[in-house]
Amino acid sequence: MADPQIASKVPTAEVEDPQLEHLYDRTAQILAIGFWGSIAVIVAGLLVALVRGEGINDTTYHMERVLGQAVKLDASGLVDLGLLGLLLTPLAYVIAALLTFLRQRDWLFIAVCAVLILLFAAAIALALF
Amino acid sequence: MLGLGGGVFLVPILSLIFGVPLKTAIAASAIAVVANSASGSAVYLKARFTNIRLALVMLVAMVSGAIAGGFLAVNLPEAILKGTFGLLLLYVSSVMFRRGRRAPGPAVTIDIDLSQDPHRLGGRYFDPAIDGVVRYVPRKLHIGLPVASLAGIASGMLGIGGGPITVPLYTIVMGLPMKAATSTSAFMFGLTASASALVYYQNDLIDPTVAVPAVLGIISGARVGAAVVRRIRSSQLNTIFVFVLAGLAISMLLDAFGVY
Repeated sequence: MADPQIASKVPTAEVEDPQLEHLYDRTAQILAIGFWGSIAVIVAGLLVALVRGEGINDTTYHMERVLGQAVKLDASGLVDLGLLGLLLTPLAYVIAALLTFLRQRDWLFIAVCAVLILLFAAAIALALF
Repeated sequence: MLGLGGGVFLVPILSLIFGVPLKTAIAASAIAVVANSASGSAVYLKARFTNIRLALVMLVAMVSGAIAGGFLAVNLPEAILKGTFGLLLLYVSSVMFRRGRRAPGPAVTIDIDLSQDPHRLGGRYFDPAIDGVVRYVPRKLHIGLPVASLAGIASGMLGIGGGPITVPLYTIVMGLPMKAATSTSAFMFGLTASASALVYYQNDLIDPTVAVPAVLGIISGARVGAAVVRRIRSSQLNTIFVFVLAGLAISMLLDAFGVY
C-alpha cells in the first residue's frame, strides 16, 4: 500500500490501476527481502569463518557449486551465496512485473520483461558454461 | 545522497588508495551498486517517485549495454579502463559543478496530455515539497534508448551505476522531474550492475574479500550520507564533491599514463 499520507492526497480518479499499484508494493518488498536476506547470508558466512578461525576465499566458487558449499556451511560458500542472492534480487522484480503484465494482457510489457529475462538468462548461461 | 550510485567514488578509492587491481575494484563496485540500489529503492517505490514502466523499457537498452560493457571490462587493458574512468570522473565533476551554480527551478505541477502517452510511460506522484500531484510524460524515447544503452556500456565497463548519464538524460532530454529521474535511475542501477556482475563472476573477477567490505561500506556510507545531508548545505556538499571527484579524475588519468 502507498503511504496513507501520500495516497490520501492523490485524487481518487488518478488511482486508476490497482494491479500496477500492487506491483510497486510487491517490488519494494522483493528488494527489501532480497537485500536483507542476502546480507544475512553473507554475515552468517563471516561468522562461520570467525568461529572456525579461517578466512574466506579470494575467488568465488563456480556458480553451480555455490549452493552445495553453502549447505555444507562452508564460510566462503555462504558468502558467495549471499553475493549471488544480491545479484539475482533485481531479476526477481522483473519476474514479478512479468506476472502482473500477464494478468493485464499488456503484450508490450510482457515482451519487455521477457527480453530482460532472456538477457539475464544469457548472462547466467555464460557464467555457468 | 548524490544519486550517482556510489561506484564513481568506490572504484578509484579501492584502486588508488587500497591498491586493489582495477578490474577487481570494478567487479566489487558493481555488486555494491546492486546492494545500494536494492536497499535505497524501496523507499522511492513506496512514495511512487520511481516509474517502473519507464524503467523496464529503458532497462532493455541499458542491460544489453551493461553485458557488452562487462565483456569490454574483462578484455580491455587496465590502462584504457583507467583513462576512460578518469575522463568519466572529469565529466561527472563538471556536471556537478554546473548543477551547483544553477539556481533551483520553481516547483511546478506538469500538465499532461494523456493522448501523448499511448504506452502509459507517464508517471504521477505526490510531492510533499509542493503539496501537490506531479504528472509527466517522458519525451524523446528515440533518443533516450540509445543513450541508455551507452550508459549501460559505461556501467558494465566501469562498475558504476550509470546515474551520471541517466539522470541528466531523464531531466534534460526526456523531461522527467528531478525526483522521478533520480529514483528511476537508482532503481535501474540494480538490474544493470547485476547483469555485468554476472559477466565478472564468469571471469573470476569477483574477490569476496574486496566485494563484501565494499557492499557493507557503501550501505553504511549511504546511511551516513543521508544523515550528513540534513546537516550541511547542499551547495557546500556539491563543492566538496566537485573537488574530490576532480582530484580522483586527475589521479586516475595520471595512473593510466603511468605517472602516478
